[in-house]
Order: sequence, then structure tokens, then C-alpha cells
Amino acid sequence: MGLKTALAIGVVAVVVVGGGLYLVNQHKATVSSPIVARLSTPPGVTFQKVKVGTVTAIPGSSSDQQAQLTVYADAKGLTLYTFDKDTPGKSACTSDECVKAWPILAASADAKPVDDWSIVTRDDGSKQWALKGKPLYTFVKDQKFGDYTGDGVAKLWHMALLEPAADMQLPIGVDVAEVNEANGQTLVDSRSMPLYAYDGDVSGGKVDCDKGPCGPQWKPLLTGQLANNLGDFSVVSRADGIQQWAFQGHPLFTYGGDLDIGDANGVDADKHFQIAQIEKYFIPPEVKVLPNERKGGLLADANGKTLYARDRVRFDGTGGHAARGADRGVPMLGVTIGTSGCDVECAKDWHPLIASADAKPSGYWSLMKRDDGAQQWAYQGYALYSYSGDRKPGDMIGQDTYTLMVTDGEKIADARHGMGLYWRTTSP
Amino acid sequence: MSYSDLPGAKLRVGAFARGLALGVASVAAVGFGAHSAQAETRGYAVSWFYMAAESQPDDCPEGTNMLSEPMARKIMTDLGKTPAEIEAAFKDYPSNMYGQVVMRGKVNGKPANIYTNPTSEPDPMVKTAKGHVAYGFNLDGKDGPNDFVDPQTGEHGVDDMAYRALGCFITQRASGGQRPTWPAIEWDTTRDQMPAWIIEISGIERDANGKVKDGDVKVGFYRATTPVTRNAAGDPQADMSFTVDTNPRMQNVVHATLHNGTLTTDPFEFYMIQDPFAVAEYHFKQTRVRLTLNDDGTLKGVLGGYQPWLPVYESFAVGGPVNELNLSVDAAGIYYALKKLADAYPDASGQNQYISASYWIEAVPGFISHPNAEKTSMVVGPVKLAAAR
Repeated sequence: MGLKTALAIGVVAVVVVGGGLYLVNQHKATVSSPIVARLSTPPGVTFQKVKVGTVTAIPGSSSDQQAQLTVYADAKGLTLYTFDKDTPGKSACTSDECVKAWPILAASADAKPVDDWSIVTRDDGSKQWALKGKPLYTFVKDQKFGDYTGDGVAKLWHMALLEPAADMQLPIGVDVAEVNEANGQTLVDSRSMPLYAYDGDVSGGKVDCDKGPCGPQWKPLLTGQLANNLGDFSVVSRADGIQQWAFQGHPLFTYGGDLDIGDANGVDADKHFQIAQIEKYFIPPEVKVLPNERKGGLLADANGKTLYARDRVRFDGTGGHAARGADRGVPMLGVTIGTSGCDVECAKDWHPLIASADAKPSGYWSLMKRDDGAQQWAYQGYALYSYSGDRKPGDMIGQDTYTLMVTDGEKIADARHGMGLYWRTTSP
Repeated sequence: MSYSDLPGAKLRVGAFARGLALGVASVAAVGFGAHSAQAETRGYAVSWFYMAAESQPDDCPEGTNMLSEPMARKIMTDLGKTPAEIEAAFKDYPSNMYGQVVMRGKVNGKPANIYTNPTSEPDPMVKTAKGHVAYGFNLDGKDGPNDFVDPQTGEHGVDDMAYRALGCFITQRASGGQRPTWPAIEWDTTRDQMPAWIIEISGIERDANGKVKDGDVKVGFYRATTPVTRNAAGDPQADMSFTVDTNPRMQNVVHATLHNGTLTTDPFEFYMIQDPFAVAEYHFKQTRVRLTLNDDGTLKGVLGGYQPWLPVYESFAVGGPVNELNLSVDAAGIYYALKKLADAYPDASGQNQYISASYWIEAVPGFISHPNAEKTSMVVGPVKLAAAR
């Protein structure tokens, strides 16, 4: 056997063995335990939306492009920061000067670590929350939520941003995004539609469904023909010739009943499919999310009664008040209105969503003190109420009920209420 | 073996004969009875709803109200600005002036937001319409000096004080069946997003020639769950399907009388939600509607009634200086005018809270489904009125 022949045989052997291993690997569709979403925020840590940048022209044309980011904040809504000099689990901001300028996000004595959230013990023995090992701080110059004056200070301090996909490797065409009806950060396809994880093996080309045939509703998320496994994502080669993405061993599908961005109608549609959620937002035990095609999800109380916010009548030059996803309010305005939007007379028909005495703000949820001392849940800055006129889950009879408040005399109108207030439904 | 000898053949022949007879009877029923025996129900989607105007050349004898720029100059002068400051402000008109226009009111010597405190400046005495031609209805049964004659029906005693209050602002004026500029913009801007307004007329009967017969019909005004869809020309597409929103606030069902292809309703209360860009909530008392069923399938007519005047003011004021300086309207002036000319439903102080007004309704054919037939037959009043504090 000549050298060339031996070389050729060797090459063929490598190709055959390597290719075989590759194919074996590609066919793997090992189903592991259900996907468990991380909790986005522990008690006492909230989210705020902040607007950054000044340039509005042509997206991507400037590093100062206007954008809305979600930042972590303390219970009062003040932006949280990380410090580059800190090491994992250890704060380097220990001097009086530093601690005065950058108050720590203190953890209460009964606080417990959860998912990405850990508790750092400082040199003085006090406890401090840390995100992915990075201790968290507020900045003394931030006055209200939405402020982020500490970002970039000394090029060492940075806003703690909600970036659920920061440590993930994502295939092309897959992203992580906020899906309203699922109340969290979820894997989505290139259309921003949520992905669902299947609990069975699809390599045979078959999919079991609890309710009727799967085909019309559950569509496999296809890979390119040359796709390789990537991080938590693997490629499943099916008997029907389709190559499909799987996440943590679960083949991924889209759901035909999701028609608009924010839909998650596949949740509970079939017991074999679970939404591929990465992070789950906090939601109070008194609240649930009801699917609603007109609003993109409705917040409801434990009895399914729609939850409303009383908002200020605002000028919207596009007339888009009633559009799905529109009319979500301005958190700062909601805080300004507080519980003043519904007086004693109003409260006969509009019932505040009362929180338990030990409830703590978390995620988009905060608490407002009522005159009687009770705590009322607020969502994205707005105190929440149910309406006595709603009879069954999904009713929105109180939606768009207006009270105009223009003064006619020597008393100046309450600036908090502008031209008047109206009731709007709330969506996650 | 003949066909009749086959097992079951007699049965099948009998069934065939019965089917044939039933088919002939059905064709006969459709051919001869449809026009006379079966009442029709027709659905429509409202394509336009706007304050009616039939402006006359002489109904603003002192001219129309000031346009935006002279009005802005007057406001700045009243605020004590020097000519140089005014000219500087006009260098980037109107955006350079928005902030200054807002706080032009004064309450106890302190600057006040003119839109939320419209009486914080003296009544600017805007010009009001003096004519006597306006669409609508004689709502109070009287024919007084402030009443109008409807140019379409010739009815005297027509009550439309809203036109008197607003008719000398150029964006509210129109004639010859045209749409006034601002009311048309309000509807056109909001209709792509807001759930459609839909109309259902049931009980229509036709004679042997297919002509709509005179008689009693039932008219329902509802809100749908989805907006209208526009066609290639930008108009609402005909023959689209709509589902009735079962919200009991927007079930307006009333008896009407059809005569010569035009229906006229009995007086009723009308409630509907639009959008705060225009009038957020419409509530009319003593409402009358006349609608003509056009040969092309469309519907056009007039709604008249008494509506709270504060939401009408709000529709001009909510946009603040953007509206004032781009539409040539004086928000505070409109507040005073509406308040003075309001003609119904006084509060305890004697101030009328409602003003007579007339609106055009235009609609295209559409298919309407009721998710809950029991509910949609209800006649339910509004949950709550928009009210002044």
C-alpha cells in the first residue's frame, strides 16, 4: 500500500468517523427536565425604564441613539449601579466617601439568595445585594426614578441593566425579549413571537399533542442545514428531514395562535408545550395575567376581575389611544397621581388592590400607602383598582371612563390631574 | 331487474321526490317572497362622524376669529412681551412659543395653565355664528331666535348651539356638504386605531320591486372590537366583518321610522367612546338620528342631541398650544362661548351643562356579529357622565 493510498484511506476514515459522530450528535434530542426560568428580581429590587441617548434619526447611525432601557432599581425606584473595581462577591467601595456617594443596596436580615441574586457580606458585616456576583449601589445624585446620573462616573460605575441574554449564546434568528402575556423574558423567533419547548422526542418526526393534531398550531423552529450546536441550543435531525432547534434538550416550536407581538397564547394550550422562558418577572400573589387579544394581556385580581389604573388625560397626536399595546401610561406620572386619583366617593365603585402587610416591591410592582394605612399595589407607577361594574373575567366595562377636571374660578386646578382623569385597563 | 326492484329503491325515490318538492318550494320562496315576507337586517361601519356645518357667507358678520399668528401676537402682547421679544419668538414659530402660551392665565396674580384653568384669563369674546342655517333637529319643540332651519329637511327650530359657539373658527366651517377641517381631522386621525362604530338596522322590508318600504325598524349603534380597515383609496373598506363589543355602555338600540328610504329615530340616549384626541366620550340626550339608505349601499345622515359641553372644550384644549397655534382656535374663548351658549340641563347654579349639537354620520356596509345576542338587545345608559368639578 503506497503512501498516497494510506493517506486517502486515513482521510476517508476520519471523514466517516467524524461525520458519523457529527450525525449522531445532531440526532440527539435528549429531553431533560423542564426549563426553569430565573426570577428577575428578589423582594426590594424593582425595574425602571430609562430613556438614554439624544439622536432620533436613522437607527444605528449614532452611538448616542435614543433608546429605552430597563434598569434594576431599589424599592424606591432609584437606579442601581455596579462598580468595576469590585470583585465577585466583594465590594471595593468601602471608604466613607464612597459609601456616602454610592449607598449600598442593603439586603434585609431575612433576605435569601435567589438565582442570579446573591448576598455579599461587607467588611463591616452588613449585607448587600449582588447581581451575578456584582454588588449593587444607588447614586446619591439620582433624585427620582428614571435618573441615571451615576452612569459612566469615573468610567467605573455603570447602570445595572436587565440583560437576560448577556451570558447566552443565541443562534441566528433566536433572541430573548419581553413577552407581555408571559410576564417575563422569553426566547423568541425572528418575528419576536415566543418559542415553546416540547417535552418529547421529535427525532422520529412525530409530535404528541394533548388536544387534537399538532400540525396546524405548533410549527418547529427550523435550523439552517449547516447549523451546529451552540451553548444550550442543539440541533435535532428529524426523520421527516427537518432540522429543528432544541433548547436545553427541548425541541422548540412557535404557536399558531400567537398573532401579535406580546402574545403568549400557547401557554396552557397543550400540556406537552412549555413557554421557553428565561426570566420570570415577579407578580404579586393577588394578581394574574389573563390573555386578551385586544390589549395584549390583562392584569386581573385573584378573582379574574380586570385591574385598572386611573391616568391623566393626555394629548396623543397620533390618536392611538385605543391601539393594542398603547396607552400604558408614564410611570412618573402614575407616581405623581399616587392614590389621589380615587377619593372616597370614587372608591365606592373602584376598589383598591390591597397588598398584604408584609408585601414588598419587586420588578414592575411597587406599593403605595393609603390614607387608612393600608398598602396598595401599583404597577409601573400606577395604583391599581378593580371595578364593581365588571361581572366576569375579561370584562373591561370601566375602560375609558373619563372625569374632566377643569376649574372655573379662583382655585387652580390640581396639576397632578391635568385636564382630568380616566380609567384604563392595565397590561403586563 | 328494473330500478324499482332494487333494495330500498322506493325509499330513495320517495326521498328524491320530497327533496325536489322542497327545493322547488325554497326557490319559490326566495323568488317570490323575499321582498315582501322576510325583513332584512343591514350592517354598517361608520366611516365618518363629525360636527355638522353648513356655513353661510354672512353668518359671521364681523368676520371669522383670528388666525393663529395674529392670535399669538396678541397673547404675547397681553403677556407684556416687547416687540423685540415677540419677533424673537416668531423666529421659530410656533414651537418657540408653546411654553409661553400655556401659562398665560392668572389666578390670584400667579401664572396659571390656561387649558386647565380656562377662566384664568378674561373672556376673549370670540366671535360666534349669527346665521340661521344648520343641520339637525328641533330638539325642544320650540322655534326661538337662536334656532336654525335645516337646509336638508326644511325643519324650523333646529337646535345647534355648538355650531353657534364654534362656527366662526375657520377650521369648523364648511358648506355644500363638505367636512369641516378640524372635525374631519379628528375622526380621520383616530379611526385607524379606535374600535369601529357600527350600526345595525333590522326590520327593513322591501316591496316587490325591491324598494325599501316605509315602516318601523330597529336601529342599533354599537362599538366593535376592531377598527375599520382602509381600502386603497384610504377610505374605510366596505363589507368588512365586525364583532359587537358587549360592553353595556355602548348598546344604543332605538325604534325608528322609515319613510322614503330615510329613517328617523325616536328620541333616545346615545353613548359612545371615541378618543381623547377628539371627544373622548360622547353622550347625547334627547338624541334624534336620521339616516338615508343610499342606493349604493352606504348610509348618510345627521345625529342631533344635547351633549355635555365640557368634553367639547376638552377636544380643543387637550392639545394645548399645539392645537391653538396650528388650528387657529382660542381654547379659553371656546370655553366661554360653549358655557354661555349651552342650552340644556342646568346644574344647581343654573348653568347649563349640555349644549345642542349636530353631527354628520357616514357609513359603509359591513357584516356585524353579536357574540351574545341577549346582551346586545339591552338598552343601557352610560355608566358615568364626564362631569365638571
